[in-house]
Amino acid sequence: MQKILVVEDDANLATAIKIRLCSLGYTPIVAGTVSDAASILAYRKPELSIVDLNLPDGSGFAIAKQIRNNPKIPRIPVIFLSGSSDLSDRELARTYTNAPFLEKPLHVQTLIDALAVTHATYSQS
Amino acid sequence: MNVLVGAEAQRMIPAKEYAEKVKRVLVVEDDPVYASLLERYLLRAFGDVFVVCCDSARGGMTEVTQEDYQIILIDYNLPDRSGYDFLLQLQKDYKSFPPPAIILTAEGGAKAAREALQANAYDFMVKADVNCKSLERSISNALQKHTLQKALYHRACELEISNKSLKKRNREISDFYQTVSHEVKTPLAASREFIALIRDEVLGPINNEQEEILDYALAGCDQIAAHFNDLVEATRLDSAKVKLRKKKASIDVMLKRTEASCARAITEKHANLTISNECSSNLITVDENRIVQVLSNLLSNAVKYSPENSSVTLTAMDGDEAGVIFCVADTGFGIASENKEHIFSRLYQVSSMNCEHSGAGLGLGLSIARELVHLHAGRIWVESELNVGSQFYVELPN
Repeated sequence: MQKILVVEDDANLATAIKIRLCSLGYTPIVAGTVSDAASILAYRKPELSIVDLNLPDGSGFAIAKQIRNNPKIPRIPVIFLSGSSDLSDRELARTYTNAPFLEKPLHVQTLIDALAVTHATYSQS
Repeated sequence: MNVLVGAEAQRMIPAKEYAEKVKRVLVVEDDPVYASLLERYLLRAFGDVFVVCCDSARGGMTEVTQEDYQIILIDYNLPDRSGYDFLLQLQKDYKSFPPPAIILTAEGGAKAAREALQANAYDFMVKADVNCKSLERSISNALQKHTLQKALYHRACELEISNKSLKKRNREISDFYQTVSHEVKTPLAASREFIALIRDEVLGPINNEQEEILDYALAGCDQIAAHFNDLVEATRLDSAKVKLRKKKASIDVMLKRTEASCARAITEKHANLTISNECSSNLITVDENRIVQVLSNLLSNAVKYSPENSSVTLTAMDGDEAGVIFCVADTGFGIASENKEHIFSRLYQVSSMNCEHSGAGLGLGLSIARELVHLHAGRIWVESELNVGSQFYVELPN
């Protein structure tokens, strides 16, 4: 799982996450909207995704829904990222993914742990 | 809207003026002879008054909902239902505040009088005692009382409306904080990550001094995020948006999660934490996340307000009736008795503590903890002695 789709509309945060993922040995592909993410999912075949919940053209859940329902898109794991501490978002997230839910601001160790847990879970299944 | 309430209204409007207000009277009476007697009394007492007679409760109800009546005279014994039931129905169905009603009965008696009172009748008269004078007096009194009650009713409606708008405002404030918090956290996350990238030497080597300074910057970012979380949480509690998700939870797990959430502060302060579960049953029905939040707040306070290398204990023990009591005890600076009752108040902080020990929050933590414990119908309190230490207790029913 080297190729990671990062969906984050804040350009600074997207850049920071991109640099971090590169330093950890991954190949990040950044998208700022739900529609960009959809075309990247279809054509560039990422193996894992980190998705912000609030995006300019929709919710991060819409991306998770496409991954789950669109037969042309591989069912890759989704790690959600959000600035909201609202528990209902977390609960909704759990209906889409077993991967950890990341809260902003992001801590590198939490990110590393989330990636490791997701690798372990999805390589088993 | 100006309404007259109580003595003021009574003083300003004489009974005579109430009598002038009587334009339409509804008589619900199945005995036509008695009904026409009432009509005669009414015409004599109030002069130019329009009297409508109905011989059943059903007919009376139709009439009163279609026309504007100032007063209703109703027989206690009607063929289709009692005057008592009629009045109860009227209060339920009438679109606003129903006109005053006087119940008339042939026999009198305690039961009928009690029922008349319960049905909010304005007066209760025995038919034998009804004459022009007594009827006029009873109607005037009823109208006076009705004016006052109507004013109260409108005031209550106004209060309800303003209460609703305050609640709406509270929700808006809560939503606003949530939006602000969300908008702040994304750039904050970016800044924090840029600092972390330099700190972790992803972008090249740094020296020890730079590393130390960047650690402070990171801690500052985390503090800003924590403050926003508290702010959002406090307003969510205010607008009753927090709903507990209670289920059976393991006390051991909650204790472990609490420890994990404070692990960094414990390591940094070299605190000696002892955790023990003395409960006879390990399960309790609570919102696990919320209780961990409460205990984490207490534990992080205990560490924060204690010197380095202090002992801190987190204990769970049996409470009353299968409940549980959590105790977070420290050997820290303690709380002066005059401050004890205030520390759970919103925005309250012991000022001397703030000066001596940096890193205090917005003062929302303990008030959030108290709200969450109260939502669980539990209790939170503190026992403390200055320079000896504090014990915070949380008691939760099962």
